[in-house]
Amino acid sequence: MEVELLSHGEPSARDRVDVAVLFADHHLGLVRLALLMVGDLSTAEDVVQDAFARTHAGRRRLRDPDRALAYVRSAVLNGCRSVLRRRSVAFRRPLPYEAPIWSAESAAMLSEDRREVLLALSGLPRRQREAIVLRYYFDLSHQEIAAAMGVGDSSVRSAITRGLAALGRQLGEDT
Amino acid sequence: MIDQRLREALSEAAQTARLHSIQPLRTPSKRPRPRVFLLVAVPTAIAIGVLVLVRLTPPPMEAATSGPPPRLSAFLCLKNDAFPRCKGRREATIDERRRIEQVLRSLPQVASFKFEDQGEAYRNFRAKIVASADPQEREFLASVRPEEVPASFRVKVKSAAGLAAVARAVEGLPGVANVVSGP
Repeated sequence: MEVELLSHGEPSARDRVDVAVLFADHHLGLVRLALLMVGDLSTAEDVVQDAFARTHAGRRRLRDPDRALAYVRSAVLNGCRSVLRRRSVAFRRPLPYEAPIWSAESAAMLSEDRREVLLALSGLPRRQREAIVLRYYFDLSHQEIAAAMGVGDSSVRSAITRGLAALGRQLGEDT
Repeated sequence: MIDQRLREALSEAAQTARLHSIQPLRTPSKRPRPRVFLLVAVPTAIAIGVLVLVRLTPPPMEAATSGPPPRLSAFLCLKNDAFPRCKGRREATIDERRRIEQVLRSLPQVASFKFEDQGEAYRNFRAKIVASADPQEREFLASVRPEEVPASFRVKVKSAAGLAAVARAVEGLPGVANVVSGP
């Protein structure tokens, strides 16, 4: 469970990252992030469990405790990307998965307006969608978003700006 | 404002996932790394073990098998025999018979054996097969002449496991037409 980190001469318990505790603390948030990305809860849970398993297996490579959370977030985002990529080609072989929360068939009862927003969001390019969810659901700073997505600061800014503009156009608002 | 709608929609959608409704995370089970030396060592050990077992296990006793001892019969070639092994050759000779006896004596799986010559074979044939046949078949079977019934070795084998080995050993000998299991 525990990982030796490069300590740079500071001996303390703070330098150890417990992957299990990290995930346990952020489990719900990570599942919700994945849910907003992939649209259904069971896939979201799978993605987080997968990310947990992978991070756990590679925990020796996790050196920087300050970046551990960003690492974990990007692991989840990566998992979501894989799922979405797989789905985009998966219709050769129909995979049963729950109706996404933004569809009218979803068991989660959301109002028409909420669904409309989420549907428009799901149609955005990947980078814009991720940046917007991290910004408006997690309230992360641009730096944190950049770290989780593995892109530069300025890319995050432009992705959010463009994403918002596209959403505004689709949802009939003037921003 | 779009960002306000966005915030509300995201948080409401996210609320549908609740802590008590999601499965707890599980620590991945440790997958053992394949150990290359085991790939070699394990089959070798098994092979040695099997070899030792086979060598050390005494041949199973007749008492160990329930029921009557398994039998087989090796029929000898007749004059103008139809069996492929006897094609283009004469009746089995005395020397060939001796050779077959020798082989049977040397086989550890053989419990006992008996030579049945043509006269005896013909009498048995009349008594057992012709007598128990249907009336229609009986006429045909009764037309079989004594020199058309082959002589044979009737072999008792110690256990059913040895049956195939004995059959293989005898089958290829010159003068043997065919081998069947059963009396």
